[in-house]
Amino acid sequence: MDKKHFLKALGRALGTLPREEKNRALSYYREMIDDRVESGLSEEAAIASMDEVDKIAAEIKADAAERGVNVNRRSAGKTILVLFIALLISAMLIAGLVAVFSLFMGVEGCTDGGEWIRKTMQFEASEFKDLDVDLSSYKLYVGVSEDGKAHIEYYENDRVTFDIGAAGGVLKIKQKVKPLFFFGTFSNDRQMLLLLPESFNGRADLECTSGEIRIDAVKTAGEVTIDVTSGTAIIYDSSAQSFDLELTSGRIVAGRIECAGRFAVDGTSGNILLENVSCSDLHTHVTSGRIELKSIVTGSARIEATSGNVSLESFDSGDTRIDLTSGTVTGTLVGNINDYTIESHMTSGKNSLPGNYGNGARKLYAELTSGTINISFEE
Amino acid sequence: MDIQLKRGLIEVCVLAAMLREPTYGYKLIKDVSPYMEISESTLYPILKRLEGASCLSVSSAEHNGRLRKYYSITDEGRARISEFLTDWQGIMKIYSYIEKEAYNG
Repeated sequence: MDKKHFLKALGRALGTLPREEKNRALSYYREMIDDRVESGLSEEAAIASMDEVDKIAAEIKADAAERGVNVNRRSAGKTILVLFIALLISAMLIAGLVAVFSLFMGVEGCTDGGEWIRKTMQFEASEFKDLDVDLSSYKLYVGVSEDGKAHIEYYENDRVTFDIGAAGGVLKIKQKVKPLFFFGTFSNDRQMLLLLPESFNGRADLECTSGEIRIDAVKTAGEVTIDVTSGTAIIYDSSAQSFDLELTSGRIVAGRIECAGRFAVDGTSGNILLENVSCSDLHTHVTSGRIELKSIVTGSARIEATSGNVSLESFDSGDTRIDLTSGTVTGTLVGNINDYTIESHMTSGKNSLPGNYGNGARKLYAELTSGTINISFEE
Repeated sequence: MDIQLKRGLIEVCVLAAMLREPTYGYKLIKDVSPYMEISESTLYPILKRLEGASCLSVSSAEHNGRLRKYYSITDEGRARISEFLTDWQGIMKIYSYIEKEAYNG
């Protein structure tokens, strides 16, 4: 990727940030690339040496949200333009649909859900211990408030509403969507901002059918489960007793995570990127997709994929088990090869690991039906 | 390392790197990275926070036909460093006590 494409992609990824924030980030990254090029790198190498666009954008947005910037607000001029175009398109769409439906079904007139109205709610920390969120199509940002209370900010219209309440020690948030005509729902890019009191220390169950869940700097001794059918889950700077993440298709990114117990990620098709995660057990599974694990410290790790690529970097695990039907496993493990007891099986392909080796305290087991294993050791 | 602690350390590290002269982003990363893990994406919010807290000021100057942002430490920034040094004197005392007890006990 060259500079032009990188900045374009970053601009796109920052899409909904206010223009000033966006321009500032772009000029910062432009300067970073220029300075790297000046120090002798090619544009491609300069860009390759930096973080990926999605990760950069996620950090910038998380930081902006932390400072209270509404990451979904557009500048006034743009909003009017977008609204105008959206209005025009929806008017045409509705007119068209109504025409079609009245022809076939005899339906006359319908509503599109109407105007979005911003709403806020507030709960005292004493009103709940655990958290239960169930969204169908929405974005969810979970962060920490500064005043010791829980704050929820969201948008409703005639079709999209929420049931929010604290009962029996659980703060429950449920999205209700009236279907459009009688088939399905349309997606929207509205975001719910949920700020938890710093004292929150309970269980969090977050579910989102399509959309995005983002968790930033939430620290709890409870268990966190996240279920995304299609979409993205991004977790940064957070800690919990355990994390259990499930997705059918989409992307999971987690960075700077501390987890006393298990960190489990299960995806049908999708990409998993974990960086700076410490836990007692790591379990990652994809049916097809990519698993990238960087700077991981764990007691044991189980990495499974039917077809996929696994890459490891600074991977520190006492007991590692890798099971792949087809694909590649590449990367580096911490320590010296003599720290490990290795067993590896490969039916067809290239294998850099010995079949049976050593008597080290760390265990490494790798099984691959076809593909490539290229694992080295840091020392 | 605890995340909050790391965040605090990296902020002071970045401030220390501009004590001698105003500096720019890429140089900051090169200067700080031997001591702490830092990338452009971690530096960006830090610079913003430090600017927000008036610990540094930002100016643009021409360099090789383009504009480059230079960061200079302010009096607040210097105060932050002295505060850090004082705090850590106390922490080092506690550290040597714990170390002594851990190895002798």
